[in-house]
Amino acid sequence: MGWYAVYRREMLVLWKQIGRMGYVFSSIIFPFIYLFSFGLGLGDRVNVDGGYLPFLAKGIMGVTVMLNAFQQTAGSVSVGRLYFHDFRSVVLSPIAAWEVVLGLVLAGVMRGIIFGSLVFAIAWGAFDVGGLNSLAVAGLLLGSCCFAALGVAVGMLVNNPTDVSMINNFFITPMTFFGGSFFPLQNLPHWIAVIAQLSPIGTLNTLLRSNVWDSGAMWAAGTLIVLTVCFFSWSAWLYSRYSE
Amino acid sequence: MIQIRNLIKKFGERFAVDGISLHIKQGEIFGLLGPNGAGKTTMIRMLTMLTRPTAGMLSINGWQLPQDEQKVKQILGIVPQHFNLDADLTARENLELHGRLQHIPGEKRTKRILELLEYVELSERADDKVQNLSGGMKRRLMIARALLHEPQVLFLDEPTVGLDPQVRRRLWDLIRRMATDKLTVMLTTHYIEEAEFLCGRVAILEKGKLIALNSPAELCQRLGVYVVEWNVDEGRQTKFFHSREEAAAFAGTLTMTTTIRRSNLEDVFVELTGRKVVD
Repeated sequence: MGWYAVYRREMLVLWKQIGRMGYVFSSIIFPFIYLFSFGLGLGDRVNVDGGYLPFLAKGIMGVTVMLNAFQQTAGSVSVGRLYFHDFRSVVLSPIAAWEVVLGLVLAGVMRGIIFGSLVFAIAWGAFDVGGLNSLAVAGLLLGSCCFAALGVAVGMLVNNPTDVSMINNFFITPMTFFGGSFFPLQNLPHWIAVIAQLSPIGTLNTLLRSNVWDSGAMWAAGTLIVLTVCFFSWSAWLYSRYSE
Repeated sequence: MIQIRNLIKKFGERFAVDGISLHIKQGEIFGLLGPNGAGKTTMIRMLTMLTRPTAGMLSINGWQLPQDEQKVKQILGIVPQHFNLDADLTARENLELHGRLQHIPGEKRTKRILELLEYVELSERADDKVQNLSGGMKRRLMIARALLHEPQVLFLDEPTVGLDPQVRRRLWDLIRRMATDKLTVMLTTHYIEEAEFLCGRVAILEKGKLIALNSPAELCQRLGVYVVEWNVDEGRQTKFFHSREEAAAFAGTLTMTTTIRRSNLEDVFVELTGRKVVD
């Protein structure tokens, strides 16, 4: 149960942070702004099957999952490694690499689920966006796993905590705006739409917005699982070679 | 207990540790002494597996590193140079989490936490956030954390750096109390009096190399137990003698003001390297 010790440590710190209102607010401020600016500004001008607001709410939930599962995990690992050095207490403990990564990923999954659900609950309360089906719940879980595992790898890899923002600029921000979270991909040039569709956030959006477990949804879920396994293995490999 | 053979660590082209060999016995308080950048912390980091050696052999309790890494981690306690406690958590929560990371079962964990908080005199501050503790309290908490899983080897990396003299003295007493036949303590310091007070043997490092290894008393004995000091235009001069009488006789031949005192590890270091430990 070494993974549980790592997970519990991350969760204990998270609950202390959640106790400070500023932390919760900063975790959902961007999704909140996107939701209300796009929702109120474009609400009835974009034609999407099922309506634009449910489409937008699930897209923004995906963005929130990505931002929190990835950024908070990468930030926690990199700052703990390079700035506060509290990550050493994990490194110095007799816990296998895969268990450490599992604990960190599960903590990231919790971050993704907590804040993704919170943003969707706000959208549900403010607009008529309907509920979440089993595919959306699966998307919430698998998307959180995928981005949290990527966050661990990036947190282990960077040599400076500020390098995480470089990953954000070149990877996360383009996915936020071109991943189909705010508008349908068919409105984009074909080659961009194909790349966006294949990106983790594009895949997550496909799953979040599917209504039945058809081939598209199965493909999206499978892709997220494969990406999670890849990022998880990469993280465990980086951890096993840890050296200051 | 700890075997180090021809240990090397290079960062780029620079040797941080350059071919050091040591054998540290069970129950010993062993000091690594040297100025900043001598390689003390790098040595500790390699022994605790935070840093991977470039070359050489490391073995603790008969287990080889890095092959037996998980076994070795179970018997090591580490107090790092910099505070690395979770500042948002309480003292008790920090210990509780460390206990879980070290696989200590629930009931035993709770009992050990209470014992150790008592031992380091932090029982009354157990539920205070770490960020509200003083530097000395944080250091004592880090020692309690390192002892929680009953390690056989304790590494203390500059355990009293940045602390005021009174707090430092309290920590020295604590470290001496911990030293039993079972617990081997290896500490790094650049405080001479700390090494002299605590350590049975010291290794003096400079620029990654081992330049002396013995008990503090033996190192001073070799140099000469008494020192005559006097000032000239070029700076302070010293001469070492094996008896006070010899030192006094020599001082009597000098026309300027002289001081006669006992030699210490600082003198050993200056004689060996030509510079002070705290340079």
